[in-house]
Amino acid sequence: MIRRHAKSLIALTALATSTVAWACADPGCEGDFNLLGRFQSCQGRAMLAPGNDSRINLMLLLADRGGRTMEGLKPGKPEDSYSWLNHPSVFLDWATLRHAMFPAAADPRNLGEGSYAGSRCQSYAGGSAALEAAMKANTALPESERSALITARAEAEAVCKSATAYTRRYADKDKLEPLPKFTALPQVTSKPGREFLDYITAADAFYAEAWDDARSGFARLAGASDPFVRETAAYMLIRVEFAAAQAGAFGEYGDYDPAKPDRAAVNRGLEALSAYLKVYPQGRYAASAKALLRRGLWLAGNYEALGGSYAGMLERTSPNDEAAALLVEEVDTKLLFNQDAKGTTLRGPMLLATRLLVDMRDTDYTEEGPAKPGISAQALDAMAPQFAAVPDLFSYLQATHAFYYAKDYRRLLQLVPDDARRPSHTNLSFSRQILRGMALAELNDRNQGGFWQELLGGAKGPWQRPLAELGLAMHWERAGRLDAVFAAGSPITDTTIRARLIDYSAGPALLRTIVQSKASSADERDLAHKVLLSNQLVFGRYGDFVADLKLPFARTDGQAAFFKRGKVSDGYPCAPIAVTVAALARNPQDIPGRLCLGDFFRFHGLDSLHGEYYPDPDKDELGGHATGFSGKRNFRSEFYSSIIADPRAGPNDKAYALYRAVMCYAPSGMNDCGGADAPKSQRKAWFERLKRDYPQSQWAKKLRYYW
Amino acid sequence: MRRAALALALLLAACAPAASGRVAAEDYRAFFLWAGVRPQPVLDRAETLYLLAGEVRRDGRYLPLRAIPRTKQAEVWLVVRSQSLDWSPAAEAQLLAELDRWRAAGNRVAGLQVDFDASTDGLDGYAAFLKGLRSRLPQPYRLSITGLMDWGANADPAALGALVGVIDEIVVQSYQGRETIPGYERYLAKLARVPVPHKVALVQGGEWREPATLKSDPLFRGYVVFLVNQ
Repeated sequence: MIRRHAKSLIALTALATSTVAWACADPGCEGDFNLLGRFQSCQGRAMLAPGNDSRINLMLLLADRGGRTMEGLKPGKPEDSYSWLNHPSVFLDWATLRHAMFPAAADPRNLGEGSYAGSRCQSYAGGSAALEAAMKANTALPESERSALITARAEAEAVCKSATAYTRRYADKDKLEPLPKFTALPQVTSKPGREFLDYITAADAFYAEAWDDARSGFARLAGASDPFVRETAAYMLIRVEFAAAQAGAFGEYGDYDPAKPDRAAVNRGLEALSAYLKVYPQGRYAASAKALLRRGLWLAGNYEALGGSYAGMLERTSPNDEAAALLVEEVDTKLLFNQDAKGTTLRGPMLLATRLLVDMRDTDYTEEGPAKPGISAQALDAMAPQFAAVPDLFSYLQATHAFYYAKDYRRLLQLVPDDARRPSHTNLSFSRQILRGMALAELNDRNQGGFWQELLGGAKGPWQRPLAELGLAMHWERAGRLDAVFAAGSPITDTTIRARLIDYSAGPALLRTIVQSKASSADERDLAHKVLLSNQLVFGRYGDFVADLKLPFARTDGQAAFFKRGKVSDGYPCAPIAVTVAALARNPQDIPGRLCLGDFFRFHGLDSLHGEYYPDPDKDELGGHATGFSGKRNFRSEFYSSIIADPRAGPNDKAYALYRAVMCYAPSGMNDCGGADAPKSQRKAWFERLKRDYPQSQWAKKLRYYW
Repeated sequence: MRRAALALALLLAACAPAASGRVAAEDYRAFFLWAGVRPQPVLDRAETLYLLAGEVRRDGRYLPLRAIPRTKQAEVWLVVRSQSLDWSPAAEAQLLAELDRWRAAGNRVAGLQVDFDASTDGLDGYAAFLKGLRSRLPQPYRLSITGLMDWGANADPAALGALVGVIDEIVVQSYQGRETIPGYERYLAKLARVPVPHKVALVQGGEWREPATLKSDPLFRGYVVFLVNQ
């Protein structure tokens, strides 16, 4: 199984604020099926871990602070299940967690997002509505002027609709075309009418990136009599300056260079911002202005102040509000993984812990050399004073380091005392106990089974409960107690975990039990039956296969159904598979029997089972301790070479074996039949022998090439 | 003997791209530029560019990640990374409008590339999604997708067949992170099973030795190098 290629998974709040986010999740990407989180992976876990996307860790901390538990979250939509997150009930990624916490439908901001989203023009429609309301509210504005002004504002949207503004950015200065303007300036003579017109004109200049016109236009309205015009113009001065500051920082490829914003414009914007908030502390744009302050600090490269602002917001923002997700994303790109912000002093335990977890990733991607954390245990210990208020969080960080690097499991048990028997868990308390369980497993502690079962009592949320089940399931698998997983009333309920053990670990006796067990769902019995019969076949346990085929089928159209009704022939005549295998049970060397079994492998994808590319779990993964099937794995390539060499084989059988042996390599030259590769000279020899010895056979006529 | 072999390798590397060793971006003319990856001088010689423009989130929303480019000569693909196939109508409208804006800004826009990592088993669902998207994508934009090497090796032939006539090309990724995936030769040997024109994406600096099978693959259309920050 090929792992997904990794790319930066980037989530920036909007284009205008986009910056480098190269490292927040550029993992290699699908992780192992276990509890270990030492390497960066997009397969995150519902516990604070170095390998998690840093946004997951920060959100887990923020949720704890705001008292929101995993319980009550709903996993994603089933139609997303074929995305790249392979085991979505056990593992999660940022997008999944975000979606579970803040389903889009509940958020009115998702509605009516126009085609300008992410660009400056996204405020155009809202601005027009506010403008119309303000004109209506101003009783000194004549009705005829009002409608003329509304028309003017509507016409001015042309600048958003065309690419002119973007084109101008790159055009030679002396070749600049005039901006689209109102077709005709409306005739207004009243004082408020002139003010509104000046406002519309300045806003038009803003959207058209004519910064000087916009700046002077809004500045002239500082003494406007209309309160909306006066306040909005003061606010727009901030946006003008920040937009002007960024304008020159975009490159040929639409990329943003954080070193290039115009610092003088940034400073003017920051001044305009404090001026606005001074006059309008509760103003209609106060919230927006405060958010723009972070933009300004970021543009100014003042990351210390930006970090202070984030630390405060992390303490205040409710985990029930999507603003929490936007904040987490912003912190990630603008501070934690902003190359230019490297070395910034982080304040507050949440920011610090998130950074320290990233630092505890193993930076040796190859998994070959010795583990290399980005921070030493001593450097971590020295951070203690900054975590004085949250000792459990700090000892968890120390325990994480001890687990992955010093491998000092005894110390870990001291740092994280047993607290598994809670009725429910915060993200931190749950993380602590999972890590304790992992240490108990490393120590092969005789009470670890009981520990995991106690932990399950309070592990209630999605992704949380399955993680605790995974701990118990891995223990039972290693202890040779797989039957307990599938016993009636088993606490292991996650279907992904159970299916994985059936696929990779269970032996024939247990599979047979599951096939007939009332404790298993029909889907599970069906899966166990398929795995049982498939393995009996490829390991050549023909007698057992015939017996197991008589076990009741849980589903008529399920995964195992092909053993009953599946295709058996596409030219070479074959009996039903039960008959073929019964003949092989009597004589495993039966020639038509082996040819037909080979075809059955081919039709039903059994060539890859336990083949070269079969994704056998590693020893440290769930499913890595297979009881398995005894015997030798039979590949059909071996059937063919054996029959080709067998003097007892009839001419048609021999011709078919030659044909199939060559076809194993069609059309790529790669062996699709499993087993050892035959050299090309051998394939050529088979081809020539088929043509020479059996020229009249349908197989010789059908075969035109060898590969 | 050892030295002679090395000299031969160097000679091949100098005259033919990717004859051996590591991927040198200078040997190629088509590139991926992902968000957060800084432009490199080699882009000046690009003939084809795949620029990540933004992403469709799990909740169906579109999020731009790049300003409108203005490239000098290269043909440009607008790439959208997708976490979901459940695109909101607004997201699709934004993407189609974005294509027009890129073109209006003077870029030679080839079309839209969707980057979605459908699992090999989920390929049929993906094909159905792409068919719908194609029907709404105006001419003359072309439709491209990124693909996984596993598709060639293990995908259901019917699901692969469903892509014919729907997409114009697949660009198959041969890397994970900054490294070429070990065993890539064996996977790429099955690439001929993919019945639409396909390119192979290499990662800058990754290990690479061109498999002989690619040369004889009639639908192979060359390489795209995924640039990484140095």
